[in-house]
Amino acid sequence: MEWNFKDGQPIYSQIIDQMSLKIVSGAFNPGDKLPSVRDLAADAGVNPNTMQRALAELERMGLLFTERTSGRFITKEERVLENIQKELGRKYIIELFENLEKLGMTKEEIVQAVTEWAREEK
Amino acid sequence: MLGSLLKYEFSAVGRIMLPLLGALLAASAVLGFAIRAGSNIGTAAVLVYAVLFVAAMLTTLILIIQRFSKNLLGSEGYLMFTLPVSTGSQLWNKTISAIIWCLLTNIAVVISWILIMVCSDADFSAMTYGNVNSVGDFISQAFDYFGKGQVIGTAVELLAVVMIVSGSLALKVYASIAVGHEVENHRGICSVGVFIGFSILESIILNAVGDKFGDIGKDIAVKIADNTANALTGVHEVAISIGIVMAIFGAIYFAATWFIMDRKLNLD
Amino acid sequence: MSIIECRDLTKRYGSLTAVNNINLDLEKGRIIGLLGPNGSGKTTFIKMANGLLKPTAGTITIDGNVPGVQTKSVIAYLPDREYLPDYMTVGKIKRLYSDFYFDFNEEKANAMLQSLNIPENMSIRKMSKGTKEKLQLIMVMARDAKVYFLDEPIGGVDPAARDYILRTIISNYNPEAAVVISTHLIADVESVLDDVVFIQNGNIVLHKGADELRAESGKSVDGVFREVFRC
Repeated sequence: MEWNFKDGQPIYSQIIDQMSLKIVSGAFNPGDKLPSVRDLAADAGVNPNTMQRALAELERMGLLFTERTSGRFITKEERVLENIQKELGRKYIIELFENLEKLGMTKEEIVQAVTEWAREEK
Repeated sequence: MLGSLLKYEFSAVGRIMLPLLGALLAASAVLGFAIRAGSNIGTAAVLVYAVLFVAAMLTTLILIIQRFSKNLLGSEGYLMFTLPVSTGSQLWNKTISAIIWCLLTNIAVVISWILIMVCSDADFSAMTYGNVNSVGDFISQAFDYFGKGQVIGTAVELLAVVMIVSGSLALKVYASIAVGHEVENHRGICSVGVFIGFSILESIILNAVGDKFGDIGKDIAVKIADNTANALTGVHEVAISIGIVMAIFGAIYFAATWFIMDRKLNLD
Repeated sequence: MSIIECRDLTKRYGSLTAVNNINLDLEKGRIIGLLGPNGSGKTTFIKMANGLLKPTAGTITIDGNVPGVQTKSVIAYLPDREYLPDYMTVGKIKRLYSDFYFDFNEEKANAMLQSLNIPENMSIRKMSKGTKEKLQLIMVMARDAKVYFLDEPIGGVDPAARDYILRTIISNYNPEAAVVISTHLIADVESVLDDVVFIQNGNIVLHKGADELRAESGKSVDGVFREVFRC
């Protein structure tokens, strides 16, 4: 699995973001069983406590659930997945606006540029 | 844990000493047969034997030094001193090993002499009392003269004294190396200096109690001249005295070395 | 009780103070980075924890015990140097560790030796520097110790081996043990760390959770380090 950690941000929150993305984008299928914390941590090259913290948060967010004897699983609930998709999408949009506003564009200019780009890419 | 230490110590030293002592014994047999055959290989055989003889003695000493300076105070010290064994065990390990190898080397040398005699089948009567052509005869004569118990008792005592002396010597070496290690530079020279210093101290102390030895020495000379069976008692007294004195020196060196290794250790 | 506790720990060599009044508590179940420039006191600290040096003042305890035979049996130390006897083979070293350490797991050692292609009968003398380092690390990680001290564990090995070593450290994670990693290669190692300790001139200048440090500073641990220890 591909993991991409950036400087300056706590790793556990980056794990949450990247796991959410993987789940929503289909790298994991709903209902899939997750590898153990240690295996996930080893794969990502991160501290197991950090991974555990991230997974606990993901569980709180509803993306994962634990079956006490069998382990952790990706949620099957459509609604949860849709919500996360929307939230992630929103995050990217906020980032886009922040970046483009740094370049001096106004909100209207940004919307216009985006619409134009979408039309061209058809 | 000391047992495990001894196991690895024996293996580390044995891989060098066993082949060497084996070669010495082989060379002595060859020399013996060469003498018997009266051939020209004689001189070569003597040379080979002499070289191996010196090598065996030197190597024993060199290994005593190396097994302490390299294995304990060199890089390997990082392995040795993190093993869960006490400092005392580490020191006993080296000391016991030194004693055993000194003994084995000495035994090998004696066996090599016997081998030379046996293989050459020569007549060594000139070197012994009365007419003796084999070691077996020599021993039974001694038994008859002094009494079997006395001879064996004395032999065991001498053996014990030899072991104490070699242990004491080894500990003197260890103490010298340990003290020398405490300085930053020129450790080798410093250790040699310390060793010499210890030796001088030893002889000063021995001289101070030397009068007693002088008397005993005269006593023994008289007894041997008299050809009395009490000669062995004289030997016994000297042996005990030497044994006690060397054991005391050894204990002091042990304490000093232990103190440095346990409290003042500073591996590079 | 923390698994490693230091109270006013000090080490002086004549007029030089290598470790200066350190008060530090390290918890089990954590992977801790001991980070600082050369001569900052990292190795002196680690040596004192291992009983290879006696403190000038203050105390250090491991699992409640002063460094001694008991602590040595539960500490696994990987020094930053070659320390195995030249003439020994891999098999012999394994037996040595087995003989002296009750927590040595031979199966684990064998598995790691196999993954890294180190044959049983190879003698240390014939190994490259990298292979020796891997062997030394394997022997340490194959122990089920309470404290691991790894001094520059990934320094002399190639990137692929580095990944293997870091993965091994992670997979070996034991909530009852503490792992202390002392290194310069902070960027490579930081994602593995729970906590970081910065040490400078024998003093602890920082002791924080790694993620906490990242959140506060907006930088990587490596970035903060460069700032704090700017020459």
